[in-house]
Amino acid sequence: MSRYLKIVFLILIPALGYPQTIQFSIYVEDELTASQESDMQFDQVVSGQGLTQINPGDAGMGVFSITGNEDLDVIVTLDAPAQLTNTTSPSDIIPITEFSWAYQNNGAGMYNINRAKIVPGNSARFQMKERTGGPPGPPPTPQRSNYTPTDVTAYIFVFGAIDVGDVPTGLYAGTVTLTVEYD
Amino acid sequence: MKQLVYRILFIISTLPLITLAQDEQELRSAMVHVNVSATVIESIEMLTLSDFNIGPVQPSQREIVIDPGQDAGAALLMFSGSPEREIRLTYTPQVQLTKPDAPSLTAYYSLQGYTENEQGSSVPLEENPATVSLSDEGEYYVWIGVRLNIEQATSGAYDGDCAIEVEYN
Repeated sequence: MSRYLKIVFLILIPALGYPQTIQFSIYVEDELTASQESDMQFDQVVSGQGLTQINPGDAGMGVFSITGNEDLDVIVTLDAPAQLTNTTSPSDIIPITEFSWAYQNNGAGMYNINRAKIVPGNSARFQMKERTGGPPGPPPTPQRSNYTPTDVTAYIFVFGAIDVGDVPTGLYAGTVTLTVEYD
Repeated sequence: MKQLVYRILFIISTLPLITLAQDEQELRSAMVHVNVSATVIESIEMLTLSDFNIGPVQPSQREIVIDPGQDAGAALLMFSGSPEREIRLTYTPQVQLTKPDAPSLTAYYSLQGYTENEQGSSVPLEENPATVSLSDEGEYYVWIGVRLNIEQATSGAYDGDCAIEVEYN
């Protein structure tokens, strides 16, 4: 009983004396968001058709968008499946023989594959908004009460090829995952 | 006891900062998925159900005419593939029939088609290429007629092909 009362008394002490405050501040990074703009679709293919391609600019190209602080760099990693799987018969597959991607970071309000840069490999680091020439800019201005950095949207395009063998008819599907983080 | 209380107070007061750090990590990264898909459909098959049956040609006959919409001698093809898909048919409208040591003859072809094997219900395929739709069973029938002037023809066999190409539209 007395032990219980002692604990309660200690917790209540600050309320009975002169108030003391400790000031501190925290810096919260700008939010980074990613969205799906369009799926990657090979449309209808004929069984046994062989190599079928989606080239940059084709209607079946997949598109992501990334929105974040224009002053910062990001690291993007893409994880693509090795095959498309029949949604009703998982033992039937179509190999993905080629997977490529490109990014557009010119700060335009809409995506345009003609302004994109093709990237080798599955990961790359780039500026959210391209700095046109010259040495890297000064460190980005931290967010504070009277300054909010500008957000910009960059775009990621995915395309490639599949090899359609003598497989049963049906829908074949897979998932491409994009991971993005501030550098 | 005091240390225990101070520890409890410290943990309680820092809980918001720990949560904030986790939120901050989530703000610095993002993940999203895009679907990749392909729909596999049947290939188009073409089957010759019957060849031309011109029958005996009389010596006084000047022209051979087979109406694809009604004559039993018309050639008949069946196309099969994915139901209700559009297909595009391209054919050679006129062909030279040849025989050694003789002038060639010119054959003019015409087509009619229908989704069932009913010649009387078929319609002319006037455009070339012609776009038609397979039935809900994935079939389409095409009758081929011919007009051939045989005034210059001599006895013997003349050879020629009527080529038809088909693809999904």
